[in-house]
Amino acid sequence: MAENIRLTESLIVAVYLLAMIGIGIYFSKRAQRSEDQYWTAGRNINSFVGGVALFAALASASSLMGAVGGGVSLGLPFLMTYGFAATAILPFVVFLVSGQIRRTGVRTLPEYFKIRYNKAVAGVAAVIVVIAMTFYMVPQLTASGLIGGYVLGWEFNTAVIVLGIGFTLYAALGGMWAITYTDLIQGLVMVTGLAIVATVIWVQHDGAFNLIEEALAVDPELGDISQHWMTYFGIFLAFLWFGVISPSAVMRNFASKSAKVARRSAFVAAILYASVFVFGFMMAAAGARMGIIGDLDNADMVFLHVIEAYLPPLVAGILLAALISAIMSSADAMLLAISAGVSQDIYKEFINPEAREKTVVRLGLVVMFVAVGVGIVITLAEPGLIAVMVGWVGGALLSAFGFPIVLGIWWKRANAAGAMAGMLGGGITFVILVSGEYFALVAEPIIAAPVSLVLMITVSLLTAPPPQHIQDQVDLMHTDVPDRVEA
Amino acid sequence: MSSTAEPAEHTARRRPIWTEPGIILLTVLLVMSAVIFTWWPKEPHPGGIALVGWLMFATMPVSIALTGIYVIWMERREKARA
Repeated sequence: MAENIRLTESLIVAVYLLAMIGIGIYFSKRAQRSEDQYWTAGRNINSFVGGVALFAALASASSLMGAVGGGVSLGLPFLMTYGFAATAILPFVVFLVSGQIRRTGVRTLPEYFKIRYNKAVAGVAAVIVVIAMTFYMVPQLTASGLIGGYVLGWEFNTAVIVLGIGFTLYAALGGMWAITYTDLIQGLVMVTGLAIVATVIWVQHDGAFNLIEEALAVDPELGDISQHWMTYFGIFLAFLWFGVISPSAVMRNFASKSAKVARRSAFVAAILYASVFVFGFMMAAAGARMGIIGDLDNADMVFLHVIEAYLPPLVAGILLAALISAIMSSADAMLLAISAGVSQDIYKEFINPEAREKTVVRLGLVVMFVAVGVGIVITLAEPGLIAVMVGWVGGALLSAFGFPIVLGIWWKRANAAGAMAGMLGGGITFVILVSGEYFALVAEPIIAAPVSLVLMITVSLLTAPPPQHIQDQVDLMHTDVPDRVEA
Repeated sequence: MSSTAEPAEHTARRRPIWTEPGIILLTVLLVMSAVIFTWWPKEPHPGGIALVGWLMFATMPVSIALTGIYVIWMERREKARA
């Protein structure tokens, strides 16, 4: 890679980072006015902005580098499974959760568990949120390091630290306001950038089918199913549930103006997310055609090689910014979830219930820097395959949270004891299965999630039903009354 | 947990679960997914890619359409109730 490409791309990334931090500073005063402003942007986000931001939060480094890398190394059906599952996230979440949970008027996922079940369930949930979101930052930071090392010529460690601190700065300053508006820009940059590279590939190869033919000539097994079906099913399950169980995604619903806006946002996000995989498919086929996968230390890097091969330096720089967008827009939302988990759901609920709003918000700000510090340390010690790491975190969250969230909305009889049993049982089963390596890659939730479901139903039925006022509120989530059911 | 909504609307009865648009459309989504994973056609390879791959890709516009149908359906129901 020529030096001028590094300079161009480094400049674009630097300008981009400064612009994002500028947005954080712009929103800092408004965001730090109250807890509501900081965690949910005053519940004032409209459909389009919310939709693009939701898409940007969901479309992580895994969606881009991981899916393309997996598509080239494990066959195009692997990438197609990602597309299938990722696009289905949105209808799945909108049918089951978006509008209904928005009506509860809560600010965080553990707060939902508190009003639906009890404080103990909320406490356990907050701890799981903090741990899972911290680990989920690791693949995002890994991607930062890979990009920085390869394209900008930075050391892996330097790139991880600089980019990690970059997104923490604007997220910490501007809370959900800054995160939503930076995600709006990042989402649009991401889709535009990928559309450009896919179009260039399409034109150069005279269409997708010619490209596939050329790629198959290089790798005849590219179109095959290369893994056990459980691997594909595990990915599908983990992704499908991600919009429901990921605190970073669920919090977007709380920021929407209303249940109606939350639903419309999901529709916008579905269109954008599907487009990413269509463009990614072109990139994976182009990457396979290059025949370099065997020479790469990390299959995810093929994404960068495709950009370099097909685009002139300036456009490549924009696309690099798009990729960094994907990382930042997911990681910032995770940071906010961690921050809310520690300061709002643990500190204010269990340690200092009398804490002033400003104190809680400032604590949240500090927590973000601590969390990114922990994430950086883990990343530097254990960089791994991005898609696998994402699959593990998604699987863990599904195993612990999936049924306590959904049954809490749809089954009045679900009670606190059942939710606790489901959460702990599913989470522990997942950890045991991962530790023992009993199953195909990323397939653990196939067992752990049903364990959670069975435990939750059984324990709920064996113990007393929830109080009548809770059951009435479950009904209220489904009626057409204006939302804003307040805790 | 208390509500700030109009008291009269609070008494609105919940619809039977099987008539909920979300549950009806969720069933469509799950049936579509179940067909793919139970059938799992690794062969043939139209266009050089396993048929199951193409099937999975073809679900993407279906997912978008289901989301759009749900959004419109719910808004019509809410409007009708208002």
